[in-house]
Formats: sequence, structure tokens, C-alpha cells
Amino acid sequence: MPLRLLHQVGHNSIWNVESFQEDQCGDGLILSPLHQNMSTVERLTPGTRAASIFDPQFFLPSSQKPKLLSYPFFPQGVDGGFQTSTFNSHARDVAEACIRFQRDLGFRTIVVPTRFIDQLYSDYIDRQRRFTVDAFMEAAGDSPLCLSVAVTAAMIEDPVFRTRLLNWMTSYPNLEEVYLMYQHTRDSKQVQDADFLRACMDFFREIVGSGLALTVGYTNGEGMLFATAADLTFTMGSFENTRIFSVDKFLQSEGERRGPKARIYLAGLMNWVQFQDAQTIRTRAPAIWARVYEPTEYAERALALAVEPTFNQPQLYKHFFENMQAQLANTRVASLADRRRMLRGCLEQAKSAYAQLQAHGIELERHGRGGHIDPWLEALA
Amino acid sequence: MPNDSPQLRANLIACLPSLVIEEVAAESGQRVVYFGHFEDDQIPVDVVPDEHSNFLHGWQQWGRVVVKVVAGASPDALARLQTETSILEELRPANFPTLRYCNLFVDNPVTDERLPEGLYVSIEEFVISTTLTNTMAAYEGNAQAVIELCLGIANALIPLWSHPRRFVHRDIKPENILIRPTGEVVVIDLGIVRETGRAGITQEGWGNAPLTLDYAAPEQIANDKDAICFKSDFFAIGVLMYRLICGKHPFRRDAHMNNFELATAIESTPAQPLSEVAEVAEDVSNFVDWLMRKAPWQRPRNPALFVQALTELKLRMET
Repeated sequence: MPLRLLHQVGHNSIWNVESFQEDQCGDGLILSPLHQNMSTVERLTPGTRAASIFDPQFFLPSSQKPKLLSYPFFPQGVDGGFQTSTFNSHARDVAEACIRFQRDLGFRTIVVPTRFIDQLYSDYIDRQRRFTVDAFMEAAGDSPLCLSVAVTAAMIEDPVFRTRLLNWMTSYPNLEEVYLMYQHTRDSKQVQDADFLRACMDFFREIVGSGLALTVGYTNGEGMLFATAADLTFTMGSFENTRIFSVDKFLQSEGERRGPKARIYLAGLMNWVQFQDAQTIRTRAPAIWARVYEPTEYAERALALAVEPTFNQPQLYKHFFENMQAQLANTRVASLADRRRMLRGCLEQAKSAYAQLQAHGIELERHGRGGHIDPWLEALA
Repeated sequence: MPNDSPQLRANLIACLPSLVIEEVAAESGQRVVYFGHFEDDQIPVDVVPDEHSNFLHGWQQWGRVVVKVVAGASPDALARLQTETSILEELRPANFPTLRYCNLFVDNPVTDERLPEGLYVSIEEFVISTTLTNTMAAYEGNAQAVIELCLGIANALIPLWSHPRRFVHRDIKPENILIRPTGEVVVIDLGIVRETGRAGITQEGWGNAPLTLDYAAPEQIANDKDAICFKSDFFAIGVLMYRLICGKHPFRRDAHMNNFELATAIESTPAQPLSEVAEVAEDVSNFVDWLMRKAPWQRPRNPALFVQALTELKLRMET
């Protein structure tokens, strides 16, 4: 499978759908029952559904989120509420209903959900098998399947655990794909840990090398790094919690909280910067701006506004999707070695742009700075 | 778990910028509770109402509110808390405060930094009332008033007890009983409510259950999750009745008992009959004794029978 890019659907899923259908950004969607109730998913066009996967998101099976509960097979909605001790007796019915739903709606593949377990338990695989995997495997028969697994950074960094995961994933003959996401706890928006990134790239190379297709979910800019390791699928999302995996999202109500300050993606910095910082660069250092900003109609509209756009307006996200689509188009056709070379070149240019911004006395807010550049270069070395 | 601090308040205000914190109402191992109110003119310009949300807008009209903040809980524990708040939403019992809002905050939207611990915030109606803690002395020797009060508590709890998911309050105590100026009883704090038979979030075994020892039933102390049910609330009401009528705790032989000694007494020592320590009718004493039986199966069979027995006592005392 060639290098691919999917929308990680989140709050205001319509932006992802429009970006895919109207702007031809991305190769499909990873649908999110947390953010899309059942009827919203059913109303998608058959063409969009066929290009997309539906992740049942059983990560926190006791989640109370109303949209998740609109799916009759979500564990919390079964038998008056999820209980670890009794769920097993319902697992087969849940599996059948969930598979039927995915099959009837014609998604690209059938996704087998698992639970998010944040400890390296010796019986981790047993727990996953007892929870859903055995029941789904049995109910799916010979249908090709995709296993959805959320792991911790420690699981990827531990070579022994990683091998156990690989052995487990490759033990099912009809499993064709793995949809993997990781919870990497950090205080920065971009991953700045070269060792972790290297471990990820090793792991992803191993998965693809084993013959499984791989989709890495909830990626921020590091998705471009992973694209140098193997022909895999990575993701792009609008709100930050679609670019960093955390089980917290199964507890939060996004519409009912104060949003963060608006940010804009600057492809030449390979980073998101606060919108007001971007305006400062644009005004005070137009030559650097021309190098780091890849214009799109959406961003132009946002930059022309008299007032700063808020985080919950679509322009800045659709701009990001177009920038990512353009980056993907350049990368997809290149060999892995060329991708590494190209990415290294982009990172060196970003590093130089950051240095020039500093020389101009333009101080960016912490997360918009270039703290990710050196670790990414190190991971590529 | 949180303590009131300038940092906690700053994080809370960043998430809810129109909140004015008035004072700390309570701090426990589980959470901080504040009294406060909202001021619409403090809403920042970037918080704009839309078709999905009126976040902060119009909240001023709620008047005084109770703001409960839990920090650092695990996702499973938070999911349990959300279950509890959804119980309030679902049942909307007349004798519980109205839940106005609840959410989990993981980022400070002003600094755009991740909060050191996620804050689970719920906002409830402030009930103009007095807690039973402040009026306990008025009940001493007045069995009729105590029975009236306990009927009020039972009426508040019946929607929980009779719910198909068989909820249990598990923390009936004077601090959680409010009395409105009209005399109406309001039960607060669903903080440790649980469904009968659910595995729950605490570890198994003695000493691991969340409880207030003075009012805990033996099965709560033993953390015997299969046995904890509405009858655990009956036990707490029995202890409450005993204390109110005679002014003494049924299992505290002296003021210096430590927790272990008290827990052991609750689990294995029968209370001295109420009729021996207070001037009270034998049937009232027997009823209280019935509620405080060590084995749950020996207590009233169901909530209806419990209320019926209380009502009969009330009628007998009136005649």
C-alpha cells in the first residue's frame, strides 16, 4: 500500500468531511463515534464511507459520552452499563452488531476495537483477547480485519513488549491491517523525544515488514517522520486532541469549554504557531514569512479578517489539511531514502528560519518555537 | 488530589473565566468544594455562544453555586464520576441539588499548557439551607422530629434505591443532609454513590472502600462489594437516628477510640439499645436496632417496607 494520509475526525467532523470531499485532501477518514453519532455516520456518502474506516473506540468502555452511547454496541450501553466482570457474556453479541454495522455501511475494512490499557501487564494480551478480540475474530469469520490498538510510549520503547505485540498482531491470518495510536505524555505539542521517535520508526518498520498494513493515528507533525520509515498511513486532524492521543477525550465535553488561542500551521516551520505570532512574522519579517507560509485560500481569508479567528473556526484547519496534502503529494512518489533526504532538507530550512526569526527579535510562544527540529533531525540520523 | 491553592484557583478561573470564587466550602481527600457565582461581564470576547453551546453565557442568573473540583483522578475513576453526575441528570430527584454543568479540563486555555492534573469540575445549585450538623442538638430527645427527618431522607433517596441500576448513596451523614427553611430535606454529595453489584473503582478488601467511618455499615468497612446495597444506607440512617435521639454514637464507647477500634465495634459489637440510653418508645428503639443489624439481610427487606415502618412509627407517635 502506498503512503497515505487520513483525516482523524474529531469535534466538528463536517470540516474533515468537506476537506476530503470538496478539497480532495486526504485519502479518507478515520470516523470517530465519540464525535459523530450513528445517524451522522450513516448519512455520509457511500463513496466517503468506502474510503474510510470506522473505529468503534472502545478504549474507555465505561465512557458516558452521548455520541458513543448512540451506538447500541458501545460497551457502556450494553446491559445497563459496562462491567468488566460481566461484559464477556455480551462480547459476542457486541462483536456481531459492531461488525454488521461496519459491513452494512461499506467501510474500507472492519475494525476490531480494543481497550486502552496503560500498564505493561504480563497478561495484557489475554485481557485484550477476553475483552473483545476473541469475540470479534470469531464473529468476523474470514473477513479481512483491522485491529485498533492504543498503546503507551513505554510499550513502544520496550523491545520485549514490542515483540509480544508484534507476535500477537501477526497471529491472526485474516488480520490485514493495524490501526495504532500511542499515548505519549509530554508538555510540548510536538514530540521532542528522539529516542521515542526512533523506537516508533523501528516498530512501524517491523509491522509493515511483517506484511501488515499500518495506520498510525493521532499524529501531529511527526507523521512526516514516520513516512520516512515505511509506506504507512498517517493522519491529520483539526483540534489538538486529534493530533495527540489521550484517553481524556472520552471524558471531556469539547463544545462546553473555553478553547485555546487560535494557531496556524506554517509548513516551512513544520509547526503550528499562535495566530498573533504569525501576524507578527508576516508584518515584521515578510521575507521569512514568504519562506515559511504556504498560502491557501483558507489562510488568506483568516489573515484578512479584522479580528483574530477563534480556535473553533474552520479556515485554519482546512489550511492545514491543504498544506499536509501538498506535503504528502511530494513525499508519496519518493523512495524511503529520498523521503529522508527531503525531510532532512525541510528540517534544516525550518531551523534556519527559526534562527532568523530570533535574529529579528521575534519571540514565539513556547509551543510555536523550534524545539522539535533537533530531536527530529536526530531521529532521522 | 487537590487542595485549595492560588494555583488551583488560577487554573479554575482560566477554564471558567467568569467564575467568582467566594469561599472554600469544604476540602476532603477527594476534592475541593467552593461557593461562588458567575458574572457575565467577565466573559472573555473569545467565548462566543453558538448553536451547540452557551458556555458561560447566562450563567450569572444561576446566582450562588457550589463548584466541586476533583483533580488527578484516573480515567476510570473519572468515568465513574461522570456516571454519578449523569445519575443526577437522569433522575433529577427533587430532593437533590440541580446539576448545572460538569466537564473535565486538561489544558489551561490561557497559557495553552497542559494542567498538571486534569480538573473534573461540576457546578451545582446552591441550596439555601442549614446542614443537619448545625442543628443536631435540636433533635435530642425528640424522636418524632427525627422520624420526620428520616422520612425526608428516605424520600430523597428512594429515586436512587428504586432505580433499575439499584444505586446506593453510601455517605449518609449530617454534613450531607440539608434542611431548607421550609423544612424540606435535601440530600447532597453523590460523590461515592455506586451501583449495587458493580465492580467499582476501589480495591477489594478491608479498609479500601471510600466511606465516612462513623456512618459506615459493616459491609462497607469490609468492602464487601456484593453486599453493599440500599441496606447500607439504612444502616447509616439507623446510626443517624440513634445519635440524634440520644446524643451519642451507638458504637463509640469513648471519645478516644481510634478508627480501627471503631471499625471493629461497628462490625462486631451490638449497640446498647436506644431505649436504655434515651427516653424513647420501645418500637422506635427496635426500629433503630433493626436498621443497625450487622448483616444486611437482617435489615428491612426493601425501601418500601422501610418507609412503611417509618410512616407507621410516625402515625403512632402522632396519636
